[in-house]
Amino acid sequence: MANLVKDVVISQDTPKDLLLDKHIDYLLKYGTDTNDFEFCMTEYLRMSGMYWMLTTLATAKKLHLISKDQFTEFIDQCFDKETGGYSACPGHDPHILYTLSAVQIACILDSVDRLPIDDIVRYIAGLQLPDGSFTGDKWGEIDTRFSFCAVATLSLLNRLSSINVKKAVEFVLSCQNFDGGFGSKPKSESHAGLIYCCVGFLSVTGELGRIDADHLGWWLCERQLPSGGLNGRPEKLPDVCYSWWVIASLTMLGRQHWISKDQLRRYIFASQDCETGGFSDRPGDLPDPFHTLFGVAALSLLGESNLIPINPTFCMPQDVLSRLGVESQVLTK
Amino acid sequence: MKVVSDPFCNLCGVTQVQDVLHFFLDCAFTTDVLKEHIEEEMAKTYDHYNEQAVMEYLGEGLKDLKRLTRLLEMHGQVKTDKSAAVKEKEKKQKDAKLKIYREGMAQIFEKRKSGIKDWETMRCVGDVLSMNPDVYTLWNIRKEILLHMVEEKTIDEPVKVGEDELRLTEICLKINPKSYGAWHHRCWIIEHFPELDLKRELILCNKYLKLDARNFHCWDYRRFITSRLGLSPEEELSYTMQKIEEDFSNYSSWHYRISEDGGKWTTVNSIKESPLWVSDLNSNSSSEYNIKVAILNEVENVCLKADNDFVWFRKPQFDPEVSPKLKALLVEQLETCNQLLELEPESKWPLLTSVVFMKAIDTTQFREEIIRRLRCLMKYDKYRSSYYSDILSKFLIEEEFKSNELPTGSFSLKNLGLTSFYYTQYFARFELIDLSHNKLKRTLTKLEFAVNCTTLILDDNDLTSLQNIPFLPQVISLSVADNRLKTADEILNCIDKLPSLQKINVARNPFVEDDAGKQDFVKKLKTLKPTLEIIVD
Ligand SMILES: [Zn+2]
Repeated sequence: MANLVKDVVISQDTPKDLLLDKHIDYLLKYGTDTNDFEFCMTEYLRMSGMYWMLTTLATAKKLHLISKDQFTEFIDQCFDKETGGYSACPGHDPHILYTLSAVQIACILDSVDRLPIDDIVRYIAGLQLPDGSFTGDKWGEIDTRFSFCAVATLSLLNRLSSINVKKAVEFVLSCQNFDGGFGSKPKSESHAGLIYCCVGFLSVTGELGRIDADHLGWWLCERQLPSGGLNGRPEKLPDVCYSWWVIASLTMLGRQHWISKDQLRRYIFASQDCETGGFSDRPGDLPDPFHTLFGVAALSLLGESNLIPINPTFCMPQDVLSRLGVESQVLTK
Repeated sequence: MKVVSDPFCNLCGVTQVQDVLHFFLDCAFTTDVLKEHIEEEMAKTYDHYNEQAVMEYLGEGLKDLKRLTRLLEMHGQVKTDKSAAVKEKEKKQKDAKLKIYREGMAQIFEKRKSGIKDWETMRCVGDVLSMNPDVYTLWNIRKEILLHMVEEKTIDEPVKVGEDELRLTEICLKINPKSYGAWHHRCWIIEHFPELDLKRELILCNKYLKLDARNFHCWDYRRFITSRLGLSPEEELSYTMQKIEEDFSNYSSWHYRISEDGGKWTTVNSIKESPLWVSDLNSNSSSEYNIKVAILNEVENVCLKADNDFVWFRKPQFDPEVSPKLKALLVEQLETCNQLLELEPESKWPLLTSVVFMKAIDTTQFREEIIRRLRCLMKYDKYRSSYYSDILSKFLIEEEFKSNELPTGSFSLKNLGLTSFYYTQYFARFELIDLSHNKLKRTLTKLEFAVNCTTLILDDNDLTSLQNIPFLPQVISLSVADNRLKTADEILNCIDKLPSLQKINVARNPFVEDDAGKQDFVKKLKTLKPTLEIIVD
């Protein structure tokens, strides 16, 4: 079965514009039933779930609909005093993924001053290895996702100098492949999610000039399929979340125009659920908060008028980053 | 297997056994038909799991597992309409499962709090993990307990314990083949139980990759195992080549081969852009400066001379160095592409590949053909037309620099259909830069290197904004006639960035279409810069 183009067909009756109110309803309803099976079984990523929800609401200018305290209290409950990191939910172990999410939430809610910044910095800095890479927690898994989490967290806290940035950059660059893309560690296959992490990492550290943007940009624009959606690797199906990772990377590289924005917009619109609200990975699938954020975020990057501009590096509203004075590099074309 | 092959292969082309099973279940066959087909399919592709495991997998609650798998992965959960009765039944099953999960978690956390690190806890953790393999904290608890047991020397049969751990990860990977926690636990176990048989792991990887050759976690794991086994690159290459032959389009294998191949790969068509360095010189000093230039690890001694405007460039090298042997091969390959194009002149890959080959063989000889084929690609591969036009711009600018041998004074890139700038660091030398009659419409930021430019001509482009024009300290004359500037503010807001400006031409832009617009603009601009010469038509 070599060389099949895998794609979806978008039917005529799919939505043609943004059903923003429905998505807001969907998110506000999500998790209100604390006995919901899916909700409970995904508690191991609750902190990120909260970040997805808050970023979507903030981008839709609807942050006033939630109670800020509920979120800041949750963050406090997930703080691990001993290590300085945050867990996904109370009782679970700290991890760099959820530490970034917790800091992002605090930034969006303008409560960074409540954070135990020195502890968080100690936690992140303690996860760096001599070769510059980062582990996700004390158990030693290494991944370029964690390199991104580390510099993004520290940059939001204005403490990037607490780690060896030079070594960290060297490690990320050592994960670049012959096709211009990046994988999770040296020699791992290129993958749009990890490319986003590595390009985002270089954007945070101001080192985007170190890569050949044309070469990587070409690999990324080849991800667009006839349906308009983007996939994460060659010969895979299109997906709303990969659409975000690819378009955000292209935006950082100054090459957003290398794909058809109209076709991408059409695909993302078609992946909305007109009944319940929310976005799914592809038209006709069940929605979830994860794809809802990335659908909305990608539309914001494409210039959707009802949304506030989102920052391609941090996947957070630009006004939040401007308020904090956090800068990230974007190449120009 | 008629039932499976068509719809399934076209949809996603995966032969992973879970998917095959799910497909059967989706088709709602009767139990007997189901069993017969499954046995047939199992015999073909599912040899490394024992029958009991498969039947367990097929057992009660499979539907839930499937739902859960997709939920945890958060992908591909198809929305279906269900009757009230089905919903009710599912709800009951889920409530029961949730109860087990919650009680399990509570019990485990209770034991952890009391410092209980025994086999009973391990069993409990294993049960919950096989329901929900992504609860990363549970994998941590397992490792804590195992480390404790190793320290207390209470593990009598390390091989059995290690194998049990591996088996648990296998069960979990069946539920979610991309579970980071399970894959990492597997590596951790291999590291902490050196008694385990690595060859067996390799065989398992090979079998698993037969089911899904694109699972990059498995390729990463395989790399981890082979590095511990100390396998030679030749052995590895032969395995990868075998996988490529089995499935020619398998990108994961191609990737693996190129990484293992000693790392000496080169790209034919990429040149990294180098930045520009500018320094103030002491006005009264000598006619020569000796500086050291470090590019990557090479240090070069450079003499900056007055008769060369104190400018030094590393000579741009646009064409890659290609050995005669490789060139002969490329000529052969180009011929193949051309034959394909004779049959199908509009096919993308031969067009694109041939452009790369022609660039590598001889850009001068193939100049017109390269341009023609890139223009074809702009037409036939519409979604990416801006990519091709930018790459064409890059090629044309390279050609200009090559033919001009880095001129001094004035430089023209007019009438080339440019959509984008490249190599603007070389603009640093020029006093007059003519970019008229192109298709420039995006940001002008890259002109920041034009530090010595006094005359900048941008007539007849598609510019809609000048907001991003960089600081250009020397520009005396700017011409942006025949563009699409809609408001006077485009000029008024950027005037600070052009401190030396004496003359500006904005004729034939929408904002100076009528007399009122012209007068208004001149009046406003004169207040900012009274002595400026303004041309509006
Ligand atoms: Zn997705």
